[in-house]
Amino acid sequence: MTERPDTQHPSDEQVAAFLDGRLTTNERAQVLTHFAACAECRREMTVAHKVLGPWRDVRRAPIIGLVTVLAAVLAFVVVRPIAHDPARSAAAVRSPDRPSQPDRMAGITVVAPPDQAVIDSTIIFRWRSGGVDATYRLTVQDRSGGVVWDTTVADTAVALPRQMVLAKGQYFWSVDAQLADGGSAKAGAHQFTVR
Amino acid sequence: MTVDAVLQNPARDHRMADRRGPVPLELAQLLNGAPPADRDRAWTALVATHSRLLMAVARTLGAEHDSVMDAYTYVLERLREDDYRRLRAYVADNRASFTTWLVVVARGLCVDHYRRQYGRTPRGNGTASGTRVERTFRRRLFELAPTMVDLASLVDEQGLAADESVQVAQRNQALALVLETLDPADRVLLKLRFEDDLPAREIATILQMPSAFHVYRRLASLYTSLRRHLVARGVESSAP
Repeated sequence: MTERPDTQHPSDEQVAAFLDGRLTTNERAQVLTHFAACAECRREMTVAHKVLGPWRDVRRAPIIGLVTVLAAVLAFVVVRPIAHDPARSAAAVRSPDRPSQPDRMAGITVVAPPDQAVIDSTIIFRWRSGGVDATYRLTVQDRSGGVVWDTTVADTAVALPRQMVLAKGQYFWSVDAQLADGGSAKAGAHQFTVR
Repeated sequence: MTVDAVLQNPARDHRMADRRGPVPLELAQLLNGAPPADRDRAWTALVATHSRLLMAVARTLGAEHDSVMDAYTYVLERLREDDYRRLRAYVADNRASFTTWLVVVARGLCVDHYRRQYGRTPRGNGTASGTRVERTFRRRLFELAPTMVDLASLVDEQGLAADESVQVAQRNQALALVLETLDPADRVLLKLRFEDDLPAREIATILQMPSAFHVYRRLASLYTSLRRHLVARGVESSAP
């Protein structure tokens, strides 16, 4: 049973995106069609998957019991006051006379770029951790409120992709944290200017 | 329902199209046009962070220390050439995590290095040996048989008479035709299981199925479907 692939070999980027589950339905179908016929590509994909195994396990290896305890502590220390203290929630809305850096808002400390920053090079957004296993949604908006870029990350820093070229002008960025225990925390909008 | 049908929904595509992975800081610093000294520092940091991973990839083609180090060095040289062309390709695409991308690219470079050294495709790590093919084929026959079949009763093709060989060829051709009608995800599932001999748990993660049990259930459903199609084509037994 000899088979020859009738489609082009997928690129390294496509294979990596396939392994991470980041392909669109159509692209995934194309890659699968190729894998079904091309033993060599399939082998390279499975070898890469095997190599990644221990790294994935390490990344996912947080000790379950510890996570449960930390989640409970977080729920008590961070989320509960946010949820039940209207005064604190109101204070989380930025005002010009509040100190801007570092700026603690609803459990997340924003580090960079500082509020009102003027930027002319690579933009790297940084903030302090909101808790173990938290994921963060970073949103960049223009002056009209239109979303220019958003991404979800597990890290506490992310660079604006090189292909994202922002036109000169004012922008706002904010971070929403999804905590391990199902709670959330939100940091208000910070302004920066691209020149 | 196919494996892919489980994953198909328009919202998923929208999310996939929007989803960009974070670029590691060292990589962002390396490619952002900083002064050479800063870029060297960023490169050193990037290599330090991912050395263990790259060594693990280099070991996929052999365990001998010198050849592993050769492959590792080769990968670093290729990543650095043409002003980090490959790394820029990652940033431009940026769908997968950097770790996943790096493993895929490094493995490709290691294979390339191996071919340059030895002039042939490396074997091992998923390349089926004769014995393994035989074992896999026997298992395939066993799985496709309607009920429990004594493995000892399976026929060794090496010792077949001429007419039996023709029957085996016809049966294999029928199987190939039936396999062609399957959804690509199902074909990959069967290939991973029977040709590449992967455990169900690993197949589940590769094909993004919820668990190994889903793999087994899908395989059972495929066996039933394949048997029905084979019977319709006049193949009623795994024996010639």
